Order: sequence, then C-alpha cells, then structure tokens
Amino acid sequence: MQAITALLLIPIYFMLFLSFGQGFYLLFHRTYQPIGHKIIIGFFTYFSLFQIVALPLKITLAPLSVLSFSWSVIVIIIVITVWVISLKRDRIKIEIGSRIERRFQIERTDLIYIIAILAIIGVQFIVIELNQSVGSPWDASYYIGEVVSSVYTNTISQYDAYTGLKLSVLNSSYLLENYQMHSAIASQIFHIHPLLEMRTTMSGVIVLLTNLILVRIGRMLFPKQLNKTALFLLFIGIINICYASFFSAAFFYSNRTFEGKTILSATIFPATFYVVFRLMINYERRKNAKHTLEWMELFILVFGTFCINMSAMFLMPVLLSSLLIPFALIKRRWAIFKNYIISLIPCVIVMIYYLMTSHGYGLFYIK
Amino acid sequence: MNIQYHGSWLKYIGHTFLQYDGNAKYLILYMVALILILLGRNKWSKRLFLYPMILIFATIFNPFIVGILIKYLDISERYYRFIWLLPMAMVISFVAVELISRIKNKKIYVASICAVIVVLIFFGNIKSRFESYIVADNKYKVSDDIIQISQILHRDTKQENPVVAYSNILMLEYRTYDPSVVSIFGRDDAINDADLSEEHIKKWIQDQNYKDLMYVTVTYGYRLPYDVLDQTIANLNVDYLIINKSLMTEDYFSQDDNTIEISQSQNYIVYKVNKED
Repeated sequence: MQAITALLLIPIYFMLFLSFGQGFYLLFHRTYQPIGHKIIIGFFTYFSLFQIVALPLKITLAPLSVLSFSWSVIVIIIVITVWVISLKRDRIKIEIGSRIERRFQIERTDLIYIIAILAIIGVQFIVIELNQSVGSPWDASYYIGEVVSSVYTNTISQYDAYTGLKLSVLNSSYLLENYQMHSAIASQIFHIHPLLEMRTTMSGVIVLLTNLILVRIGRMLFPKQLNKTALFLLFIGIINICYASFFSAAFFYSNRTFEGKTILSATIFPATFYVVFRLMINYERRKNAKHTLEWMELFILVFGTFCINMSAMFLMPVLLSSLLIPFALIKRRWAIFKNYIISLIPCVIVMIYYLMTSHGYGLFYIK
Repeated sequence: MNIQYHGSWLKYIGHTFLQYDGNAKYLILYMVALILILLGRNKWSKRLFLYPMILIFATIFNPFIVGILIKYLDISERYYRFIWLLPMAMVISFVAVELISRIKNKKIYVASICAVIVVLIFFGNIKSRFESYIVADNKYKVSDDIIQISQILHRDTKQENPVVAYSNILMLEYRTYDPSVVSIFGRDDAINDADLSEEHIKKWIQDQNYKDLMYVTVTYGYRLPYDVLDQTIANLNVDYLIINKSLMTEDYFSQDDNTIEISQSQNYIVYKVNKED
C-alpha cells in the first residue's frame, strides 16, 4: 500500500506544481502558457514558497508536525484560490478547449513521435525506479537519514543522520536546503516511509521533470520538428544511463536521482538553460519590451534553487554569467546587465551567510 | 573528488576533467560537438552552448584563476562540480540530431541513428554501468539484510532506542530504514585501511580509545582480548553488536560470556550484550 501511495504522489506533485505555476502567471495576468512550462516554473515557485515557510520554523526549532500542518493548509488555500480565480476569469475553459484542439492536431501528425518520447521517458523511469544502487552510500545515507530522523523524532533537522544523536547546532551547510524537509512532511502526512517518498516518489518526479525540461528545450531548438526532439531526448537518455563516471551529472541522475545535488545538476541547470533560452528568443521577438515576466521566471528559479541545494551559491552565478554576459554584449542592452545582477541577489545573500557561518557567525544552536 | 596539486594548475584542471569523465569518453564527443557548432551557422546553438562555454573556460577553468578560487573559497573537493555547468549531453545530442537530419536517404538515415546510438553506448562504457546496477531487493531499496536485522532487534529489545555497533556499510544504510537505533559510529568515525598492528591496538587500549577499538572489531573482525572487548562494550554502553558473517568471528564471540547470539540475517549475526550483571 505504501508503495502505491508513493507512486500516486508523483501525479499529485505535478498537479501541485501546475497549480503553483498557474498561480505565478495569474499574478502577471499571463496564464496563456503551455502546461509543461507552467509545471517547470511551478516547481520553482512551489519550493520558493516552501522555503519561506520552512526556514523560520526550522531555526525556531518547531516540531515537524507544525511544518506539515502549516504547509498543508497553505497548499490547500493556494490551490483552491488559484483555480477558483482561474475559473472565474473564464480563461481556463478557453485554455483547456484550445489545448485539446491542439492535442488532436498533434495526434494526427506526430503521434509516433509522441509515443517515442513517452517510451524514452518511460524506459528511464523504470530503469531508475528499479535501481537499488546509489553508487556511493556516504552522501545518500545522509540525505535519507536526515529525513528519516526528522520524521521519527518529529523535529526539523535536529538529529545526526548517521548516529541518531541530537545535534548541538543546526548544520549550517544544509540550513537552507529544506527540500529534504519537504520529503519529511510528505512522509508524515501520507504515512509512508521516507525511503519510499525519496527513492520512489521524488526519483520519479525528477525523471519526469528533467525530461519535460529537455523536451521543451528540444522543441525550441527544433521548432515544429517533433521527430528531432524525440531523437534529441533519446540521445540524452542514452548518455544519462550509460555515463560510467562516478562524478558526472548523468551518474547522479541515474543513481541518486532524489538528492538535492542531482536535482541541481540534472534538472535545475537544464531548466536555467531553458528559461534563459526563452528569454533570448523573446528578446528577439519583442525587441523593445521589458521582459519583466521572463526575468521574474529566472528570479524565481534562482530563489527556489536554494531550497534544493546550497552548492548553487557557487555554481549558479557562473552559469548565469556565462549565459547572460555574452547575450547582453551581443544585444548591447544595459537592462540585461541590470536584471542579470538582480537575479544574482539570492546567490550573493546565501554566499555571505555561508562565509559568516564558516567564521562561526550566524549559527543556530539547539537547546 | 580529491585531486592533488602537483605544481601546475593546468595539470590540476586536466586531471579533474579526466577523473570526471571516469570510464566514459564523452568529453571527446563534447569537444568535437563544440567545434562543429563553431563551424555551423545556428546562432542559437552558439549563444546557448558555445559562448557560455568559452566564458567558463576563460574563468573557472583558467589555470591562472583556479588557484585563487581553490585557495580562498576552499572548494577543492567540490571543484569538479563546475563541470556540471557544461551541458555535455545536450550539446552532443543536439549536434548528432543536426548531422543526422541532413541525410535525405531513409535507409542511411535509420542506419545513422543506430550508429549514433552505438557510439554513445560505446563512449559511455555501458558494461561498467551495468556492473554497478542492482535491481531493488524490496520496495524500500535497501538490502534485505537491513529489514531482517530490524525485525530481529525489535522482536528482542524492550528499549525505545537501543545502542548498536555495526560495520561501516550498515553504519551508512541501516538508519535510513530504521531510525530508532542509536549508532555509536558517525560518518567521521569511519577508518579506512586501519592499522591493525599489535603496537597500534595496544596504544588504543592504553589511550582508552574505545570507539576505534569497537570499530576495528565490528568492521575488520579484529579479535580484542575478552577483557578489553567487555570493557569497550561497557564504556560505549552498547546493547547490540551486528557482525558480518564474512569476518568469521563466530567462534570468537561464542566464547565471550558477555555477548549472546540472538539471531542471524542473511549476511549478519546479531549479538545481544548481556547486561544482567
């Protein structure tokens, strides 16, 4: 029963991401976005908000059950509000209608390629879901151990994952990484073992989300050529499964799919390419627009990333700089530089905090 | 990843890349793909894949800058993660698709797809990958041993949080399944290639280094004198010892009055510490 619940949680998470994505675009009155795109942005919106709720409760040493209850209430309110407003504005009906219509058009022309894409994703899903090996259990046992200990003790990250002894201070290297606590509350709410939530639910979610991002990148690289997108996805899938290197993002993806650093390397970095690519295309299409929405998408992506992995504080600025500085120089637009610097703000704040804690400041002691 | 610095940051970067690629050879394909993008006319692929890569190589993978980064940010063990920023799989796949799609003849087109698949599998070293693949024993994706040990412990113990001593493999995995136990070993207590010479063990005994004494007993099967073993168990307040059968220490523990075998899992023997005295 627990295994079935863990599998059923996968579509539930996607529905939540879609709702949060819908909510994000409602704020900008721009809900006419592809569902896949809303799910991707919704994933980052979801974890950005989770961070805002979880972090204060973590540093005030609140019980895990308080976080579970608070987050459940917030999610229910947001989901209901988002869909009620969407329906009221009467946009959703039109949207669903036009989408179904478009689906039928695709079915007629590109059905084989859609099936091929689903098969490629499905094979990866099965291969990863059936895999027991994590390559090296050192880190994986920490991440799962932290979640298991938190659920068992009804605390938020206050116990040593390996020994089960209470810590004297919250681990500053992982202070912002509340993604693990999301797994803990899901385990608590749905009464499933954290191993199942992490290794079945989250592994599945990450496989599907990563491939969704890659499909969307493929569709932008090869517009209106679904056959090429399918091939693109097939080749990436082979590399991800066959990359025999302990340190590669591909190896992390196929062995330690549920870990924060895997999500960073295999999901968030492609998502950054995707969001920046969209930004570049939109700059080309609407030359004089401000592109506020696209920049907000990038900002929410960067902000949400820190809930998942703190290594982003070093890596994300390098990636953003490498993508946006050449683009700003090509376009010769000062506004791109300005927005690029704004998108780096979360990284700078986290880096300052990290440097403080490495000098003994800003630590949170456990009574 | 821990790469040693041998007087040249260029070599350091090179070793990092080689170690990152491991048994695979995708770096070669990535470089070839980048050259083809450079020679091609697709502006988006240049903006997305080529210019960012040039900037990353000019900064993060620049031998003149890497030393400063590693020295001041203390990131030598995590330096390899910057390679994650290079979208190798995307670039290789993009170029492969672009090349294949130029073929007009259907038979050659299909053959080319098959050839690319073979090349990707060959460069990735699939044999090595499948050797490390383990089909899950159960829905928890932990070894069956762990589930069996947990059942044995909970059948036997009346304590809420029994204190256990087990080898490093269990130390890493056991609590991911059963968080009710307290392990006397944490991650920092692991000893790789322990010095098991008599002199070294004697020094630990003199220093009353009970944790390390227990570690070599349960992980390496070192046979401590019985009085020292009992003293170690008492000092660490251990309730259960879980010993791998491959250590072949059954006879050793069977002669110790202080430990009683309560049950066995597939690969482990569970001993209870007699605390009645």
